[in-house]
Amino acid sequence: MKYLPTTLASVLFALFNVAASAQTCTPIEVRNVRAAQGTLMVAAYTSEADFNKKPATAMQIKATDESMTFSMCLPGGTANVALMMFQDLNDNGKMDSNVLGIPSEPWGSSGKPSNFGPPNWAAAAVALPQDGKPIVVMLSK
Amino acid sequence: MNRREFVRAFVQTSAAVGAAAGSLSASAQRGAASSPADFDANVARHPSLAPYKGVSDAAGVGSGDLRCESLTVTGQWPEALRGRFYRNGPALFERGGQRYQHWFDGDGMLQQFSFGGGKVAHRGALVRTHKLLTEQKAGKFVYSAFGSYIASDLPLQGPDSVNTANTSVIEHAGRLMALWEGGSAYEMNVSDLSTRGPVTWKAGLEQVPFSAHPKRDADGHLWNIGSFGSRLIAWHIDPQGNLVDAKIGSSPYPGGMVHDMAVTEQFLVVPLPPVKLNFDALRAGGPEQAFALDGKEPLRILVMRKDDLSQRKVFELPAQMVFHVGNAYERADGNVSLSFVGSPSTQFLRQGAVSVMRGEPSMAGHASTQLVELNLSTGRATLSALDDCVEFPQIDPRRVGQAARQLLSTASWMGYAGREGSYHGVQLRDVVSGKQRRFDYGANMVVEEHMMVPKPGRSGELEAWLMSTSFDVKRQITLLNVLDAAHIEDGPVAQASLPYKLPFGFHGHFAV
Repeated sequence: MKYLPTTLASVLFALFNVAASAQTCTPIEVRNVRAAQGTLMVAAYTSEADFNKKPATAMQIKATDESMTFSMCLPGGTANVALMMFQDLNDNGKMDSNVLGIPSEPWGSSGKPSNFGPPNWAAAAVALPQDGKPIVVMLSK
Repeated sequence: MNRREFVRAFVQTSAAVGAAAGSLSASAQRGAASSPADFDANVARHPSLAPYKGVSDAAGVGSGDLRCESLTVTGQWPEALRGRFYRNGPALFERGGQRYQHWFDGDGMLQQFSFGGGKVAHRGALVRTHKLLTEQKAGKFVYSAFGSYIASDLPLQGPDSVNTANTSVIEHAGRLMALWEGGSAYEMNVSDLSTRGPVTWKAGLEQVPFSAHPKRDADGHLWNIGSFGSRLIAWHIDPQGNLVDAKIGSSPYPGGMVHDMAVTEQFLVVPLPPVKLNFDALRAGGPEQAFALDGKEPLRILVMRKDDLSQRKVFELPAQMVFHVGNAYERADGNVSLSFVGSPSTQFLRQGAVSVMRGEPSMAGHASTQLVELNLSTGRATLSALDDCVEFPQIDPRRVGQAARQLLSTASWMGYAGREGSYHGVQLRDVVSGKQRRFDYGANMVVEEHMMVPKPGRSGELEAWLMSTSFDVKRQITLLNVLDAAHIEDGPVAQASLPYKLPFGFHGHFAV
């Protein structure tokens, strides 16, 4: 599917964020980004009930450097957040996978994604940092 | 992209990655961990285990990049024996003060012996996999291996994140590939053994397991399987090296270990031993606890049509561990004959391959030749268990999938002190008469897999050389052996000595 140029999309998302009231913004640091390839697709969930169903915020950010830090704003009062993301290397708007469903593009989550199963709320959710330190997400390698 | 797509993609990905990690990245914490210093201290008392030290990926002493332009040859090197003999096996076990706990964990290293112009040359090189390059850069192991837990918060991209390319090797249609059980084949350059990268046969087949024991039939077609959770993949590559098909079917024993298979004119024949990796046991107790044989489950033999994987029969035999098949073929009466090597327990997987990494001898192996008749009309399997102690079964490569009488294996029968866990001889068994002929290399030689190499222009099953590597314990070097199949009991007609030792390998391949 075609979608807006990434920078424009980011601006629109930023406007949405500004428009919403009582936001909390926090830095996100992503490591193992394949530099200068496609777009980081980020979804943030703020409750177990919404996890993998209804993101509180979603962002698309042009992948530039191996390590990237950006700000994400969440609804006021958010205590815990689970970040799920992938790098859309070929900008086709979806996470590519092979015939067995194994991802061909880098993915990651906040918290401690298990080696033995898909990330769940308990593994991915982290407390929203109050000290300005970033939430770190490692993309797969 | 809309949010629904995003979420759907994520859920699918997460499940797939979970399955990949679950089937491949077995973690083992704690226990009787091996360390480089422990190994060095122990191996001083057990010099036959010295090759388990492995190699390094740095230049200098212990480097895995080896080259010898002209080996010292004794005996009569056959003039007509020309080509390339390859071996592969786990070779790099230590990094940053860590040492793997299980032999199967090491990064793969390809050995290439080439013959011609009266000379025997050797070249060895580590396969530069994604795993090796990532860990080389980090200066430490960062991925958990089959039997070694490595603490890391790095999510896996999939099977090829942890692909060590360490199990076998084949040169097919000019393409040299280092093979592993759970991920892509790694292509290497024939001329200098440099690594080209993982083979993707077709878009969408990235990382799909292409396992380590493909079989090339008499018409030059290559058949292979792969196993991923509940699914079995059947590969067909044509004689020119092009993918014909990768069919995806289901496993009658989901999650079970699938190591080898046989091929006949119409069928793929796959032993499915009742062994699954027990992750909880791995985490709690390490590899010695994790790979138990489930005695309540049978050994299944899956026979499925090459052209339609859903047309199948599953035969059941009493529980046995199976790594390797010899051969299978369709008899005139329509039944399928299969030979394999089976063991009543997973002792080697749980203990033998762990203790050698500590520099301590393993227990005696007790795998033996098994011959089975599979009746496709009645679904009955009739087993004959032979009284021998063998591994690494091989047959005449011209007869894969057809009736072959001669089954070649490494073997032990002398009971040499301190050598209980390794082979000292080679055996050719006539599976029709039951008779066996053997050669004993002696108490000071550790004997590896032998391959049958047909003599050019000949067609008789015994008109072949037998080729192998072995470790000379006294001299602490690796030898290349050539025997005449017709006169196996006379031992090598020629031997070529390397000026160094190689890590023990798993499997080899001869390419003309």
